[in-house]
Amino acid sequence: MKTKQREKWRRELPLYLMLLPPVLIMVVYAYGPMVGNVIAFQKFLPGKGLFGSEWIGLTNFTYIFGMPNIVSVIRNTVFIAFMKMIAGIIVPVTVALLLNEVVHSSFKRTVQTIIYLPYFLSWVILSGILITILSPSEGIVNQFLGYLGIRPVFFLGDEKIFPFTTVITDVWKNFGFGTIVYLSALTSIDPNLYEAAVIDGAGRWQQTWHITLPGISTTIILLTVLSTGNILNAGFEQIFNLYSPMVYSTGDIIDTLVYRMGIDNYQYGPATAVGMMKSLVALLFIAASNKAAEKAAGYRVF
Amino acid sequence: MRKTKRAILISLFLVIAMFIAACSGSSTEPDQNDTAAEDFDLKADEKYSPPVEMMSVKSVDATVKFLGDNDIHNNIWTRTYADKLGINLKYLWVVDASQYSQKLSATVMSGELPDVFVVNSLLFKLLYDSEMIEDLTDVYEAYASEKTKDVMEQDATALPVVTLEGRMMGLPLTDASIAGAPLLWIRQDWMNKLGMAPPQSMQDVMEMAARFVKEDPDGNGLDDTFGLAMSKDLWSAYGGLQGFFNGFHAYPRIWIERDGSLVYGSVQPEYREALAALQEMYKRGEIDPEFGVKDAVKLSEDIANSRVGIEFGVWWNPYHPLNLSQANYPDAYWQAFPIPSIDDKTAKSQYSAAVYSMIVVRKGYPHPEAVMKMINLWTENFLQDDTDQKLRDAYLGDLDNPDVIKYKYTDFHLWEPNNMLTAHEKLSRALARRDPSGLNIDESQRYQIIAAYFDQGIKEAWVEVATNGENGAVSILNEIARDRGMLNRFYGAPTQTMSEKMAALHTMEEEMVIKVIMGEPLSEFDAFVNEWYSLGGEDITREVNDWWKENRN
Repeated sequence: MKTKQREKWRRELPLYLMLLPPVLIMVVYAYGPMVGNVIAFQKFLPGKGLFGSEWIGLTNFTYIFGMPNIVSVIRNTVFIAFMKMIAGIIVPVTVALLLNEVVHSSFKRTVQTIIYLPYFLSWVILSGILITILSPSEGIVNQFLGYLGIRPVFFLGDEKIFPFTTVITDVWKNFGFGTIVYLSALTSIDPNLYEAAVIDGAGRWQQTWHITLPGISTTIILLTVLSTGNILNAGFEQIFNLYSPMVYSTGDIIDTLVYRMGIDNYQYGPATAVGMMKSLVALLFIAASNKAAEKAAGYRVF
Repeated sequence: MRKTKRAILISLFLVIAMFIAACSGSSTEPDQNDTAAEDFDLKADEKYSPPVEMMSVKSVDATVKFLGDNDIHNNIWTRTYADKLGINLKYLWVVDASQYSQKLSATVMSGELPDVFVVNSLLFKLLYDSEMIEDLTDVYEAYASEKTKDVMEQDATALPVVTLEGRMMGLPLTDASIAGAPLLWIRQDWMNKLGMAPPQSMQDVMEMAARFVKEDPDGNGLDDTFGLAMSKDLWSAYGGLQGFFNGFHAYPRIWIERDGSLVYGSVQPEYREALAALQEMYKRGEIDPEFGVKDAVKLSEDIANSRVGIEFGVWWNPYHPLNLSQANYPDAYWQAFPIPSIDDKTAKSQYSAAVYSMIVVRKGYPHPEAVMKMINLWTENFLQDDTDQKLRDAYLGDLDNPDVIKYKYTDFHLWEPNNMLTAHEKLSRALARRDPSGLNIDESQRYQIIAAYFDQGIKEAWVEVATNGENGAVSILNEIARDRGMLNRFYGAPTQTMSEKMAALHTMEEEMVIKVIMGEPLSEFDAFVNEWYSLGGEDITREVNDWWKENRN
């Protein structure tokens, strides 16, 4: 019995060792900083430290809910994040399905590479490019619209359009990555199923509907569940680099507000309070969608 | 499409130019100016022996360049501090100026402070409340040299800014307050071309803007000019709106005296008038429709490309960005004018106490007086009339390498508040009688440059003519200092509610201004005023007036 136990340990020890670095990283970078959440309940002064600062209960929370723009900021965040989530599923799935039907593999690979490229550029660089090409007076996009007889659109300066600009550019940057994930999921579908379907007289559409989509539905659900945790993450890097006071009313999101409060104005307490609430809401969402996924598709992430 | 191509070409050119500049900056050519500190006879306080260590942090901007194998950690200033004072200055980190305050914020949060560093007044207050910085009152009394005290006390607003509850908690980085006062800059060559006279009123300015838009003043046959230079940084040092508002007797973001108490300029009725005028200009197409997304860099591109001919900004604008016009179009000439008025009352240029940042010392640093010695070294040697040329070339920068500005290698430099105006008076007298005798080095250099413009027709020298020349910008500052200025009456540390809410209120204001200019009804301004009071403005006004009761004189 004892030798068996030891045997088991020897076999599994390398596995545990391999697990150690990621666990350490999680502890240091994800769980450790959570202690800092106590700042949300303090009048935090850096010199006094985490436990020396004065405790002020929920004052920071009442302060943030008294802020003039808090409602629009939350609304903007949810709206932009939700749109990104939806578009982030539909576009890559559609493109993956289309590419899957392409016969020429060289063409398919070229397209894959091209749409994957922007994924590797940081928002700092992309925003510089976007500001130039979306300019109403000189940007190439508006010049093209001009040829079609459409009046110039102020993509980054019009508060009605700005949220959609962020969604579309975000999809443009990221759909290449999603497409590759779905394409790899597609390859795992048993070709026999298609052959059987063809023999049964199924057309292209019916094959897609009854074989391909159910075949990748687990992947879609998995990615959707994981992305619901981001319901309050509307994309700090992107918006921070693209927005301006002109579009604060529809483009200012929780993260940009926290950044301005905490880093620019040293309001550490209120900034932490906002960040903490955001995490709590995200936790609720991810738990709920995990439940929903289990109900709907019999699949749970955790 | 041609325009896009040109834009690409221009940006390509800029990249190449930057690349060349970067290469030449780090060239390994031996540099005659790279002399050791011992070669100079500097006035210095007693040297530490053994040497002491000092950890600091530093921001550098694009204008900070080095000769030979100098860098920010090893240059004439660091070597001098080590050799003459026995202070080994090291940097925890060095970042671009645009990221300094964010990086510092993170550093403060981590609790590991540098020994000596530069902060803004908001962080200054926080560090004081956190009891993280050293009381420098006694250090100042015991160690500040006579000249240092003179410089720091010339402007009555300098010391109050760094004094909290009666104790001096930092050292003010002084400058001339008046240097921040807005002026009206106009492309003289355009004005002449259209046969116009200098504007006597704000109405004239607006008419000029309209004609600059319609009558193709740059003569390139394209409808590509705007009336008024503006960017999304509404209160920037160039392309800012303060000057325009001042023309309407409105004073954005400063505290003015009215009926015996202090009131906030941004919520006064005059502000509405100025906004209405800007809205009209925007409607008529005299303001760049994209100003709301343009930053300072983009605006300077417009100036470089001769797309705008009227700008409200401060006296040094010809050094940047107005020099860019002349660099591209040799005949371009920007002339400064006093802010004209909308009615028969004289317009006043607004300005604030010039101390925006201060040097602080970490609590517990064993040698708080070291920083005083470094500042003395600066004031005693470089703010004196008899500083010799060799010293200036070595420590400040020399004309052979005009883009290498060496005093920027150190944070421990400050300017004499009164110097700019007195120097200009001396210079004007010398120019009038064509005789540079009696000028100090700095002034005689300016004299030579201005003379080169008139005698040899060196057009690049217009920069100096437009600033320090007889009718240059500084002569207008003289008028402003006499009776055309409006000083921000509040110059204390930020009050409690101010540190908490002012940023949000500023954001609200910015949003409102941009929206109204772009066509939203003026009632947005009235709504803003109400919200401003209810969302903290009322408390701030009370706190500011409490401060005023104690500090008015």
